[in-house]
Amino acid sequence: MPPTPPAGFGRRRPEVSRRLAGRPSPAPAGGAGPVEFTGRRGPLFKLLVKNAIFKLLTLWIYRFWAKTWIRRYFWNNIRIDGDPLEYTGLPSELFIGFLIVLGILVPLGMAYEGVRLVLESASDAAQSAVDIAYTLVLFVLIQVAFYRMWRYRLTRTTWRGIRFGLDGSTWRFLGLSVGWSLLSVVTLGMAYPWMRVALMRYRIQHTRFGQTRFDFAGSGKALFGPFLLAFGLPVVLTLAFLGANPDLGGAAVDTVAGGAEPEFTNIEVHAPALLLVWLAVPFLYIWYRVREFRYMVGCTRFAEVSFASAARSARIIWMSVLTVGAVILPAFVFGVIFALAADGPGFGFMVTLVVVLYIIVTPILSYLILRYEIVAHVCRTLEISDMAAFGRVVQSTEEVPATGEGLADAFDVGAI
Amino acid sequence: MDVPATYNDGRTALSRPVTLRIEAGALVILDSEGAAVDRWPAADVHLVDRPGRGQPVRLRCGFDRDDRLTLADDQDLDGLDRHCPGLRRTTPGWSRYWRPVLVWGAAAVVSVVLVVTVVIPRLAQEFAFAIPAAMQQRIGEQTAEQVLRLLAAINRNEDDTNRVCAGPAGEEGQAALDALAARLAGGLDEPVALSVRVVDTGMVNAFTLPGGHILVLRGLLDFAGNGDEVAGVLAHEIGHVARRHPIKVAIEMAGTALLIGLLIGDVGGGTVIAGLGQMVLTSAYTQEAEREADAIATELMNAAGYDARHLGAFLERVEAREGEPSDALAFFSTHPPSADRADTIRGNARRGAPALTDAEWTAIKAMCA
Repeated sequence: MPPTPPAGFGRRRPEVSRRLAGRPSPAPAGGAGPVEFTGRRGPLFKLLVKNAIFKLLTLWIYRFWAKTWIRRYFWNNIRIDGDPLEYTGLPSELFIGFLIVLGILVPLGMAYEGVRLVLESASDAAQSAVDIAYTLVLFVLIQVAFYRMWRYRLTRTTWRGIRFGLDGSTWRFLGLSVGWSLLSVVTLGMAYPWMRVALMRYRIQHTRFGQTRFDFAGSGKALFGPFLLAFGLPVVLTLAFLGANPDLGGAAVDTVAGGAEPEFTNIEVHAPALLLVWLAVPFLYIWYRVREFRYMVGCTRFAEVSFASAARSARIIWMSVLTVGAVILPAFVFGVIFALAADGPGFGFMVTLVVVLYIIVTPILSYLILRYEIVAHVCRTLEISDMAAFGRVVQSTEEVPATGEGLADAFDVGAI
Repeated sequence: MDVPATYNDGRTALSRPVTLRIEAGALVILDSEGAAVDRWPAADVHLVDRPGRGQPVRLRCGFDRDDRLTLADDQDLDGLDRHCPGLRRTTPGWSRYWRPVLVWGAAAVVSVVLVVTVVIPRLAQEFAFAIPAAMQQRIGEQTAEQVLRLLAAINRNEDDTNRVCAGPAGEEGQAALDALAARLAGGLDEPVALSVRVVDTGMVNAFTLPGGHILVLRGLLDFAGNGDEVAGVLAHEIGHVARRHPIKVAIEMAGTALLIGLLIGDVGGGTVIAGLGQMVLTSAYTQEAEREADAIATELMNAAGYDARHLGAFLERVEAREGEPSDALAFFSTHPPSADRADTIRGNARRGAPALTDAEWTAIKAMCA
């Protein structure tokens, strides 16, 4: 364990060594894994508040600086085999990326908007054609933005002075992404796990540490079961509900009109059950994503090194509930206060002030509770079979991109 | 001063223990045998990041090299501070970034300014005139339906059939209005299709919708002191029709929304700022449209031989009735200050004959009776 136990949640580390049974596992004495998270919520909170104030004062232009300081905080507190990751990205790079996108994309976007307006008023068919084209262009740009963003972040991440990197082609990734998305649509979503694995394989196989590449060996087959449970079950149950209660609207009318008793009296049982299933959908989703994450980590190789994650969905779900609660509770309280104090003096000003505060505080809470916990939990539950292998890595001579994330910023992709 | 440290040479991912000797002007890195591995000029030594209390301290040499030194904790930080003037600088500063920032910043500013002042208005103008008249008509009729429904909802007027004052009692007034509109529109360079309707609503206002649809609210007729004021308002609305302002402003608003969305980037707090920015820009575009319509109204009144100063007087009376908006709010207002508008109109107006006969004026006022 680190000399000062990290504050907050998750001091208990799930045992993951059994996942790597049979492989050389030099787990250090004392139970600490190869990856520690040494962050604390106090300094992070101060940083988030400072960033929020500066962003407000600079009409959000400070966001590039804010992002950089936050990343530095997280990266610096991830210790792998005792040494921290280092984020070497600079705010100026993000800012220049943003300026480039603005200088190029704004005139292009304007011309596009003009065409859209003219065509939209032409006919319904033209309108739907334009909408579809618009969605496709947006989809393509977002995929490109994602790949560029990963490349920027990896080239700006170092460990023991050695840079990470992402080669491969943005356009190849885009092609994969478009192809698999179409296949997913055609198969009514059934290809989704295979798509996730295919895209992750491309990313991992093109990720480098120094001159050594990562590798990935996995198949969507392993995720199909969890996928069916998380996404298929709610759909099947909903269909079953509709099947068991046909002509739902007619039944309601009959009852109200005092007509014949409807044939299906078990609707009182079915409806709450269905509601329960729908309420569980977000949790099922998180459960699937954590399952998927563990699988992807297990498929990853670095030379002869293997990885395993014992990340648990229960913790992420609990933190999500806490975050949502922390966001909704103040909204509820203020809602009640406003309902009582309506039409008092300065009421409009008060409402505006609270709404602005709320918009600022919500992301802070999300970072402080949920994102912090995800990073900490993922670090603490990661197992690496042979740390010594990393010592043999040699620095890459690859060129790195000079500017960062302009497109990703424009589309607001990426969490941290 | 000798300090134990860990050294990463930037070529391999090995950490090795070294001794750091802090001398005047340089940090010397010594390996376990006491041989010098490297020598960092003290002026180039920087912290990788601000260290937390009791946390390891990481050092770099310059901002381009990959090698790093790690001290186990922060107790030697004061000693380093004395020798290394740039220790606390964790980013290279702007010295090497000013050029791209300047170039792209200028490009971004120029492109935003151009887009706001030239591209959006010009593009909107082009498109407003490119849309065929029949399509403008269709859009206008749809919008008119929506506006009428909205007015009915605001005034809780559930009786849909009476929204437009088009009954047999209004025929004479309608004919007078149409004739007046035709006389005013005669001063335009290009003829426009017009459809003037009076709506039975107490608000003092008039709208122009795409396709030459003009809605005059009954409240405006009640509030107007004479037929010349109504003629002035009608001339103003015909000005909007001639310049195709309804479509143009709609296109301008769509363009602004896109631009601001890109500028602000991330969601969350940005949305509030985006909303405010959009209100300011939209306000600039609509105020421009109002001034144009005033100018055309003055020309049309002059050409038809009527006195446009009545329009100025009317605007001032409306503002006096509603209360002048504060200066701060004027920034968001869709209309320019009425006093300015009235002054401009008076400056260009000529004396003229009454626009309507007493009989016509009485008939128009009686349209919704």
